[in-house]
Amino acid sequence: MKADFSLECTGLSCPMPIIQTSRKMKELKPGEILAVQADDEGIKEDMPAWCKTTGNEFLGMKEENGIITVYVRKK
Amino acid sequence: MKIAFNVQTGPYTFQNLDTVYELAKRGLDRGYEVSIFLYVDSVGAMNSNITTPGDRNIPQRLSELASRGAQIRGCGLCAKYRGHKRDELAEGTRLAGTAVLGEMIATSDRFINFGFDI
Repeated sequence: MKADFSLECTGLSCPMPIIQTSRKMKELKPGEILAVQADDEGIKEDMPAWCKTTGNEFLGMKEENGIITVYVRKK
Repeated sequence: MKIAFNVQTGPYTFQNLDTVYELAKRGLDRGYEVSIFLYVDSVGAMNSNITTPGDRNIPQRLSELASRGAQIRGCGLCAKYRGHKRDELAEGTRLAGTAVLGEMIATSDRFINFGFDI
């Protein structure tokens, strides 16, 4: 999936990946996609929940070598 | 009606998990949507290796609630700090984070915290 922006959150523990995502999303325009890389597995449940709460769209995730990449479209 | 619980105390030391189990069970009986977040020491209750000969098995109780539709989530960071592994989780339970707890608080009609009585 092609993202417009990416955010590196490897090494950060909950809730920092979500806080960093929230900050970064303020820079995006509606419809743009952010890819977030993290190794804290909590993001698998947290990002869909955060999207549901904020109205942004959770587009999916992939995992390679312990790095989880999640994709979010700004509402 | 959606009811959500947050539990912070460990199993078998405090009665909070037993109380939440009984409340959640009765909520499900009434058709309520039930969510439970296991925070701090209560994440230990998700460990499927717990054996309790002749006594109630709290991880199995959590699995029973999950099989009836309850959302059971635990703090992943709390689990990490206590050495709990993902592959030891009781069936139907999952690790998550504070965004899930936030969603439970934001979307529930009633949110009850079972914390430390200091």
